Amino acid sequence: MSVYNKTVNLGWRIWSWVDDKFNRLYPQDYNPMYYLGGISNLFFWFVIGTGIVLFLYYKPSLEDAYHSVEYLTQKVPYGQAVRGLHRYGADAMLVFVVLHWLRVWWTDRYRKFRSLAWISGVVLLVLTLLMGVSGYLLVWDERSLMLIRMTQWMVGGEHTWLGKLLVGGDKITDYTLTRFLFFHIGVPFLMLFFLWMHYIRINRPVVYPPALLTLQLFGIVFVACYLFPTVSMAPANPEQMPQAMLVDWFYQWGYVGAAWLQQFLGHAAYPITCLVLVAISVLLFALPYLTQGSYLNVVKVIPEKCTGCEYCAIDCHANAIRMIPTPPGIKARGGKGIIAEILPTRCAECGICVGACPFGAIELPLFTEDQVVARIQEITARAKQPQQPVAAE
Amino acid sequence: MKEHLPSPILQLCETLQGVNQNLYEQCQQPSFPWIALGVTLVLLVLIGIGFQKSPRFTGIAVLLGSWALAVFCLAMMFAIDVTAIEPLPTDVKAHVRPDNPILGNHYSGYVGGLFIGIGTALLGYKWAFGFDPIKKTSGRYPSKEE
Repeated sequence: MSVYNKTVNLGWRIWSWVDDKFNRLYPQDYNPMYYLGGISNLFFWFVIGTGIVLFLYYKPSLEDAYHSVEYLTQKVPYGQAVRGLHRYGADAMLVFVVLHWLRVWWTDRYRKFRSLAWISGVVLLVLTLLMGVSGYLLVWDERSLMLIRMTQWMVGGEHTWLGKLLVGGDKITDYTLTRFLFFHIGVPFLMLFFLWMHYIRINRPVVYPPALLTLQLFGIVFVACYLFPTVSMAPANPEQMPQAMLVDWFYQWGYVGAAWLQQFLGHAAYPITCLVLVAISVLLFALPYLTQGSYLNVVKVIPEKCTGCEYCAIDCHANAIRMIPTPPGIKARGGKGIIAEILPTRCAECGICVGACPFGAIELPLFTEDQVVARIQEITARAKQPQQPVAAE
Repeated sequence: MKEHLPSPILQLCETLQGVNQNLYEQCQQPSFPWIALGVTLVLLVLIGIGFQKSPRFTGIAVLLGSWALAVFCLAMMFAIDVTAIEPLPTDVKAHVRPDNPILGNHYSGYVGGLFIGIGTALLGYKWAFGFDPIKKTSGRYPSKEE
């Protein structure tokens, strides 16, 4: 067995263990491990909501940016709390996005018919990181300045075209903050498109957690604002780099890694880290195709038996069945004038549609109908047993 | 506005203001998050074990405990006055204005406590009595139809 398979199997065992422990604490229909994607989406909208309030007070210029944030924090009623909610909501979003990604990967739900959801998910992960980092730049304190400089070093230096593109010229000006603000607000709009792509192949996506979980999660974020108030550092001075490492672990682990590598590789550590991050992203994109396997058991429709009842299309969780007008020359059973058509690259080869069809009009080439029904009954029976992690199935 | 309240309620408000000041000071201690995290984890493990042994008893305990937390947080939200909170040395160090120590964050903490309290009380109710007040379903586990 390859190292990759061993790693994924280990991850699967870890998730099964975690599922089991959470199932002891929560009823199965409230287990937060089954709603990781929905929770990420919830915090996405939470961050957008709080961000709109912050945007009303923000002034994107070197002179005013820091003071506008301080004004919001110190003078606007509950401004400090809204800022904290935005910050910790974004942290929570990243945590749940990463957990969702690891769960999908380690429970082997990323290949074949799920490739599109995986690829859009990787894009969403990258965009989440970029959105978070760009948020830190807007405060325009010492941390913002350090992040801008480190990012410039990552893309080759302050005087390369990428370095200049980042800040909008040879040096940091008001336009720098304007473009960071545009980026910080523009990325969520881009994320909406990829969220649509993320859901499109799923028949009934769970996009929000239950109300009970929502209350608890929002509660944790609100309490975090009280325990760890969000404050700015000293104002940025473009002429002077801060001496201490001021990055935040949640969103800036890449920068922390680069700074650590700097002691061994010198300044080359930054572009190398950037290349490594790009390589990891490319690898993640390619992962479904590198481990694709082949479609051996895609279901087949027997057109003469199909009545056009749509039961199979309704039950298919992967949106792999669509109803088409009965092609000329085929004498279908029903009078509806439509029959089912299989989209092979979306087929999960699960056999649910075979069980759903009352007319025996769909078959799995490698299984008889009786075998499929027996298998479905076995899985369903196991899923109904209490305290069994059904998600790992 | 509070001046017009009856004396016992006014006294309660002052007591709660004192409790908030103490909580605020304790929360800003450097070692606090780790102690809080440890206590939370131990509590979760105990609750998990309790649910296995006696769902009804543990469910009622969680229901009452979290309901008490929710009521306490609600009372705090009405009672505290953030402008009367004494700033801590850490506030000054973090460039927080002395006349306005983390304005609004106190309310945020208690709103959070209220949310956690209500959410956990609903969970405790489901464990204790086997009825989900939100989904209106019975049973500690999802029904077979689900």
